Amino acid sequence: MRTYVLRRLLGAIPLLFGASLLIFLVFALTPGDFIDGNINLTPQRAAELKALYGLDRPLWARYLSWLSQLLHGDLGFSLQHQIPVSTLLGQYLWSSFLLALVSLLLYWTLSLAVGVLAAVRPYGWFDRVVTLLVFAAMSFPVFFLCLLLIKWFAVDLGWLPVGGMISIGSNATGWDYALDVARHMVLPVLTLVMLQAGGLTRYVRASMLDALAMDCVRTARAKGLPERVVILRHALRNALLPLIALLGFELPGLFAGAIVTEKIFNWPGVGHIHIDTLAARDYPVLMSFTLLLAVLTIVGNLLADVLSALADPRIRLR
Amino acid sequence: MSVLSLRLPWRRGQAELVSLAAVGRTPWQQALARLWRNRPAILALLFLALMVIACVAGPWLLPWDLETTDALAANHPPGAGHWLGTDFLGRDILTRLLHAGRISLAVGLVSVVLSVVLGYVLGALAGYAGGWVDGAIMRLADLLMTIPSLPLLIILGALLSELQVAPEQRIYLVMLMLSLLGWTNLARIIRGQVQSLRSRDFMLATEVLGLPLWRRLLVHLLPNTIPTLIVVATTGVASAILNESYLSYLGLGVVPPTPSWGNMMDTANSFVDFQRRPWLWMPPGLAIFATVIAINVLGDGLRDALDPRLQARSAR
Repeated sequence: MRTYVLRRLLGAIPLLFGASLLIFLVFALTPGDFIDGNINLTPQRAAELKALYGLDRPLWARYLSWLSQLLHGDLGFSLQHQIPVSTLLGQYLWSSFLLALVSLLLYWTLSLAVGVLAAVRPYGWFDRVVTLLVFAAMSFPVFFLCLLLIKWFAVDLGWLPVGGMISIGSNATGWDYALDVARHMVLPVLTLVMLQAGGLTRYVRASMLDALAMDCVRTARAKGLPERVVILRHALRNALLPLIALLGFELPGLFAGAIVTEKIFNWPGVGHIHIDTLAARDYPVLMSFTLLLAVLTIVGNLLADVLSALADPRIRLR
Repeated sequence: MSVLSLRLPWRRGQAELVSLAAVGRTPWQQALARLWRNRPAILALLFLALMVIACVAGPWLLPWDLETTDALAANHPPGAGHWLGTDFLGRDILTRLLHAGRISLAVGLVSVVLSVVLGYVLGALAGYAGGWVDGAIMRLADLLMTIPSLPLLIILGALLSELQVAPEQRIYLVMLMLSLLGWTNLARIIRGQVQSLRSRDFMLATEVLGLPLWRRLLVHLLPNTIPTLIVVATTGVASAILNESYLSYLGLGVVPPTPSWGNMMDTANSFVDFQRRPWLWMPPGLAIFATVIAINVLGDGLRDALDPRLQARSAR
């Protein structure tokens, strides 16, 4: 087990460097930067500023200094917000995390329950309805769903706020504050749950169908165990095995911020910051954020491998 | 092995063929029959055919023009003259919708054709060649997969805006962008298949028979991967259309004056249009939704029809 984890860890290191190089090149080779975008600067002043920020140095030198900064835990300085990038991300990361965590818990519960029920009677009426809904969920453009929900629930019916995280001018504390945030969360969470539950339910159903066809399930039935025990204890356990890996892949999603959803619901998260800093060409923020996503993806894959290996000894030996 | 792979050219083509009369329908005919029995998939196929015909032929049949503005007929709700109403310049929404459909469907199709060619060739190469070629291609795929595609697409879209690419050329670059990021999935699947097929007995037999490499690859090995290719490519079109619509909605994909389903929904960003004039942004949204759902249902039907392993499962 230890050698397995060690091998995976070592394999991830070149991937991390590769990702950092790729991200650096995409941004460094993009013409125009934060300073070029400011038309009030004289050419001399612009050149001075570029020298100040080190933008006049050759490409490889810039990459190496960026990398060494990163390795020292320094993500850089936001040009637009004039605060360190780590502070900026720290401000917005947790509201994204809150949104993502609540949605994650909801759609995993929903998908597991619905997927198992659908697989128990495949091609029954429930399964057919679920399949239809799964296809609908997989095919909805995110922004269209957001817009429809806002139109119906926030504008036409007026039940819920249109966007943001707290009501404007609100200085509520304690329970009132939590309730206010919860009301603002309903629609974005609903959007994320509706979109994510589709693919996951399909996966749970397929995995459960595979598990129900296993010999151990036939044996359990032959022993005369009640169907409930057969499904929940014998089939579901085997069906969960491939799903454990999926849980690892969710890691980047927890911190990445749902870019489109946050933008439309005006949720103050990192996804929203991502779009806004893009317009201002605030590259230190964009690069750190993209790199953060890449690191989380790599760590998530690693986590998925390790969790699967923990749950299934056969994988460790491969 | 080395003895068996000796070439015996004088024997080639002289063995008597087993009579083929007893062989029934080909696997492809069986798959087609299975697809035909899958009613939702056939309905989806019909819908897609109608959508393509409407988008290609519709703009010629409608009396309105894509660019003609009419200040007197601005912001009309759907009615007798303009079936889906008009926008703030008095342009007919239905005409724009069908034109946008041409663009969105073309971007989806072309980018998938490109990414499928790339993914298939690289995947097959990695799977067959093995060694450092395999290592290099798969590390590249891993690298591209570490960065979530939407953030990367958004950055590349901003790059296009930065370079001030003309709107007409921008469509092609968006296609290229989508395909450069989309090939990795197919490459992985094809590589796995080629690796497992390569060591099967029938491939050993082709080696024993002394068939030339091109024949072993093109006639015996690769045809076995075509079903997977078709299924992955079909669902790829759906995700390419969705990705294009996200980019265009954010103003980073296909940009006006070229209409696409995504950028037509941009009007929803103005609160008055959003609240009072849903005919401006609902039709393109529904068009994306209906097209993508039809492609997904068709893809699912194709998977059932082409994959005998899954077929066995559903029969059980």
